[in-house]
Amino acid sequence: MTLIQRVRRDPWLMVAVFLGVVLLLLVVVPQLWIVRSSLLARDGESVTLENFIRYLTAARYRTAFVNSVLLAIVTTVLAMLVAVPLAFFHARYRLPGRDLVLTLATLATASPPFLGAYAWIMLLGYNGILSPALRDIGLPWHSIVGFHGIVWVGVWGAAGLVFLFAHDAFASLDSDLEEAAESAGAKRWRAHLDIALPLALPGLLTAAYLVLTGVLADFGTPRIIGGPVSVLPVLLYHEFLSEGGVNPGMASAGSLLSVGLATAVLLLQRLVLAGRSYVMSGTRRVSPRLLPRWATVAITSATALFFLMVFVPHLVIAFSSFLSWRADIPGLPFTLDNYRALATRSTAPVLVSYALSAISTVVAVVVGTLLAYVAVRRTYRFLSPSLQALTMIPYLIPGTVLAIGLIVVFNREPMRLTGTWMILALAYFIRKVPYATKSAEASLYQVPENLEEAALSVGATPAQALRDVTSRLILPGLVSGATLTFLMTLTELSSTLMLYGAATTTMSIVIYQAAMGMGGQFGLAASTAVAMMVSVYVPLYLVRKRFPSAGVPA
Amino acid sequence: MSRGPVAVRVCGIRKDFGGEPALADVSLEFSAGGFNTLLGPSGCGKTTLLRSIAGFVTPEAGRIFIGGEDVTHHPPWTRRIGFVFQSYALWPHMSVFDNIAYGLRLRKIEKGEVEHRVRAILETVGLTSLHERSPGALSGGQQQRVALARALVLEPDVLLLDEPLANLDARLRVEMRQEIRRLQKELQITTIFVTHDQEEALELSDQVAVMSRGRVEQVGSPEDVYANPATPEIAALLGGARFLVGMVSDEGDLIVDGARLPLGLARDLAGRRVRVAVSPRRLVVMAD
Repeated sequence: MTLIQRVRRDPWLMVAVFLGVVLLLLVVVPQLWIVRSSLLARDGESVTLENFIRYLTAARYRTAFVNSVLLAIVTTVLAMLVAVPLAFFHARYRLPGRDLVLTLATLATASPPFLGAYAWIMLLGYNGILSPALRDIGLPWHSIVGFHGIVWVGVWGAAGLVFLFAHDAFASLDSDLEEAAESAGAKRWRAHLDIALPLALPGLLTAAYLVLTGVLADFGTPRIIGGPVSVLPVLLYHEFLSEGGVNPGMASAGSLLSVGLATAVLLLQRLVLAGRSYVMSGTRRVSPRLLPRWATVAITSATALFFLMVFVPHLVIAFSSFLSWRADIPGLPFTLDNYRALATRSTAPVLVSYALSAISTVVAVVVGTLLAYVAVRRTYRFLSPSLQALTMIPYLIPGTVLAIGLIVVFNREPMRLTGTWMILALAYFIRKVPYATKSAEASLYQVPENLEEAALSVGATPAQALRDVTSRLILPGLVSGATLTFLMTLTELSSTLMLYGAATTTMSIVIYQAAMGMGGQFGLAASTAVAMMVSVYVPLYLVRKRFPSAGVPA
Repeated sequence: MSRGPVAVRVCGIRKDFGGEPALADVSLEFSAGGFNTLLGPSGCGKTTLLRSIAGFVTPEAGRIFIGGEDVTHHPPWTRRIGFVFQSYALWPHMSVFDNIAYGLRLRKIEKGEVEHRVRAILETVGLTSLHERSPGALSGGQQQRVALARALVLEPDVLLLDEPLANLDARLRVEMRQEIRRLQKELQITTIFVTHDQEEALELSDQVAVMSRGRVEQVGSPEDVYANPATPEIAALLGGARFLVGMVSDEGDLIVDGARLPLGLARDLAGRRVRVAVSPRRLVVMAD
């Protein structure tokens, strides 16, 4: 069979090749440039390992590395300790407000990541709203800025996600399994420990992995609330900006080490999970049991406190958006001035955020759907696994590193994109294409392949079959996937900060600058943050209502 | 559109899915306007052969001819086939009418003609009042009729049926089987029918091809295959035969567990171990 016959027979082959080329150019080439510049000496010509050696030996780099790893571990352990026990009780026992609890947890997973740091500083920073009161009652309270602040914000920022994953893991257990253990003589608590916990472990480990990698790659929280504490993404940002492209060698070496760290964590997760995924034979869902009254009251109170902590940032920001700000000091009376300022002086960042997110989401969903199609429906011996691997690479690239790669590649003619909206849209697209692909894959698995073959058998070409049958059937899944992608890009900070220009200032930049005490637009930042929260939660709520199965971004 | 019944021929088809060959050098002829059955246990390659004829599967070697034309490398959508899937594969987002009309609309047939042809075929398959319904609201038997109508409305050269009765209950299965045969006779369309049910194969077919492990073991009329099975496996598959294992004596008797059955077997088998297939229809009981 000739190539032309093959392509005519299976036009998807062309699509797969095209997608492969696009991903190579946008994902792999920038990373290769980073590798190249990491190996160049200061003179820009000779090849050297000096950058790596300096990175691994100089104290400030080592400190950042140790801080990052320590923060990630402490935050993950504490988030698990806070959220897993509560999730267990809500999954296995009859407690009030089940739907509300799950909705709140879902909303918490979409919370803009850096809002937490911004709000907790407002509350407990040296000049925070509550700090003087704490000192007045004699507590030796200084400020939340520092290592403990990053951990505190990180734990409550991740708690919703952990709760949701853990709830899912415990709720999907077949209740017969534990009853079988009880019938074999195990007490209730033994059965929980011996049966439920090991079976839920894969789900719990996945949650831990997501928290861990999230903290490792997070730029906003440590930058805003870390004070003098140095972590890898923040260090990279300073390295790259201070050396300003003259010698990005150090930043490149650091970028590669960050990607290496993320890869190592991923491999570790794979290793731990290998052989631990159990197929549940039964499908009987757990029928929740009743707890004694005192326990119900205790757990419900704990749950209320839990979600209060999770949503403190939202409450604080919403509250502060109605205060009168003088410089960085909020005060009475309540006012709508901040919203007036948003509507009259500052519509541009809102529009820029929406436009960038919309463009990159549409492209990510279209490309992600095609990638998912090739992955699920075609079995090219070489192309399919290669495409899948390429798609997942952006998962491992922290936003800061991604931005550095794009700047290195697209800062010269004829492809000078730095400072334009295009480079931001490109960054958002690359970051979110793995999520869009996973979500489209999940929808495609729901549509039997023979529905498409039936279309071919009555004379539809593959393109017509995709248009008239498959795409119609996966549309609900695509809509919910697109909404989640849109929300995530709307709150993106780390790569935005490195790539934005005066004309492409987004909502996240406005909030970030206020949080850093720059620009003095504190009231405006608060109302912008409320606009961002509304932009995130309203669509999320609508999608959840329409498609209850719509998952968290994972 | 129809150009009268056409023959289908496959020669030397080979297909591998990883290890075991799914089809190993299969050659077969399906007569024009005939009802041809591919019969065999699951995994014997019959569905792969059908899907190769449809074009869903590309064989590694061999040729496929429909009406004398070599279609081996033609994509499915140019092959003028009708395919009925075991699960019916009706499009859940389209009404019954739209399911059937879809292929006609792709061919840019004008609206009145589409309407006319869909109504005609619905009448042929015995569904007239249900065209507004969505497929999910139909019974299994009704979905089956819609799937047939969707395939037949295009007046294809060849109708391919992949275990179309497997998902129906026993009573409906017998009813639909007669219905399919009636339609096929009425429309004079070359039909290839895949099944693992020997009763269906024997009742419906003009020609039965028995397959096993990716090969065609025997081809012939149902009567012929039933009466003269080429292998013990075919005898077991078709006639529900049981086996007697024993030695042949010098007199041509069969010795089973010390018991002597005077079957009058050929003398040149004397002294050898044999298996004798006993089919329910042809068991002869002899008095002592």
